[in-house]
Amino acid sequence: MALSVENLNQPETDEALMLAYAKGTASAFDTLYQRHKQVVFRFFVKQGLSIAIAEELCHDTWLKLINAREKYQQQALFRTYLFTIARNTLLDHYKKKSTKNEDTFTANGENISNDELAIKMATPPLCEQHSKKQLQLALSLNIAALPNAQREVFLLKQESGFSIAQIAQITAQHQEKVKSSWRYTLQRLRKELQHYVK
Amino acid sequence: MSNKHFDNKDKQTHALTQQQQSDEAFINELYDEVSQEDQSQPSELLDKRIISAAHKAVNTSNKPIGKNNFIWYSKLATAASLTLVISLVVLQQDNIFPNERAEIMLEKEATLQKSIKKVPEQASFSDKEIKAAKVNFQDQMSDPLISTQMASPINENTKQVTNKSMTRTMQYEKQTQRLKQKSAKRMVASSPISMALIEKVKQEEISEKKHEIIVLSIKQFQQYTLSNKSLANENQWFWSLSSESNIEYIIDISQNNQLAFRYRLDKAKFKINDASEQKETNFSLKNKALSRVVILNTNN
Repeated sequence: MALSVENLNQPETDEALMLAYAKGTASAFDTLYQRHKQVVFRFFVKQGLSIAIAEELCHDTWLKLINAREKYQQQALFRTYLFTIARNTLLDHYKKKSTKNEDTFTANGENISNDELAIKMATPPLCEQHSKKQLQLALSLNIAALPNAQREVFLLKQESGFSIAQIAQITAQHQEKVKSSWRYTLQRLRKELQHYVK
Repeated sequence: MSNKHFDNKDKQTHALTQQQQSDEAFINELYDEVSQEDQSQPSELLDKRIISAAHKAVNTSNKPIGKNNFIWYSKLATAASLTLVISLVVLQQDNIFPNERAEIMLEKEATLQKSIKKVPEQASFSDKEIKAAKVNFQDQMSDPLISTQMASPINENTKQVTNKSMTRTMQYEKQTQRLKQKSAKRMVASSPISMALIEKVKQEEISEKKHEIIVLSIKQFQQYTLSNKSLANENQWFWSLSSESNIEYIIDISQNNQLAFRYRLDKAKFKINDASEQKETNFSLKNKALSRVVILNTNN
């Protein structure tokens, strides 16, 4: 089955590409992967995981999608479908991690222990002198320090661009609870990062 | 009051919405600043691994020939396995449940024993018939007039009864032999454990042979003598001594030079005079015989 994306100069939807891949068009997957690989990767990295673990989880997520290609139905939005798989992969990782008792955060690929994080968070900001890189680190650390439920909602909304309704669908929660999580997360981050803004 | 309450609630909701919008704007601003710095991407190696896995999955599932081959082989393997199992079961059927077969053999043997034991019962039934005929005969003989007239039909009746008894006994003997032969053949063909059973059957056969010799009762003896009284010489019953032991005599009773019965005579009831001299000599079962066979005890 030949895909007519380039020929018609019209962007093929994610759903159509996924269906084409399920029917055996391997090139459809390439397009899908190029479109979404960064968002999925960032979803894992922003969880406070190391690059290696984030890549491992990315690999698992895409493999699950490949194996479940024939079960995909067009009614489901592809991105919702993909992030549901990503979230489940992450939850599986947390279950394994809880048995290993790992207490480290990762910001921009740098492993930071709980104690180091506490020192960095307590260090007074340099106000106007701080660089964008410092802000980026602070943002990553604060996101990583969020409770799991809030971090999940925040990243899906802010990083991946999902609506409240879509997040409720991905996380299998009520919309009001998602809204509430979103509001509290915003308040908390603003409070913590207030000092970094001019 | 209620309007005031709703106004307050609206104000609160409005304030919250404004606050949230302000927070969102703040975070967006932060993200705009950071996004230029943060362009993290998965490594090329990971990209290659995932894409090759995706292509491999599609190519593997698009191989109908391989799939069909697998189905064909699996069906053939299943059929071959089934054939092998069935043939093994059929070939080893006799040795799979030796104990069950042995039990079946023993049950058959027990049934056989029962059928053999029925022979004396049948003989006793014949005795009843003979006894009835004898009583009838004696009653009639007490009257000299009737005895002369009735002697012939009564003797005929007695002969018929005796012949019946003889025929039945011979039938049972033949049937018993046939069943034993069948049983022995099966046991030989069945399994190694049947060797013990064969020995058992042989021993039982020997003991049965002993039992096959019917004990001659005094009534039967008298019946023979009475019967001979009215028979012609060529049809009469003869007896000869076959063997002798401490407790019994074994005599053969024959008619028309054909062996009909072998009887055991209990020495407590019978005594044969000059037994050692009379071996294998035929004597007619007439009154004369009484001179040689002496009834010692008439209670039976």
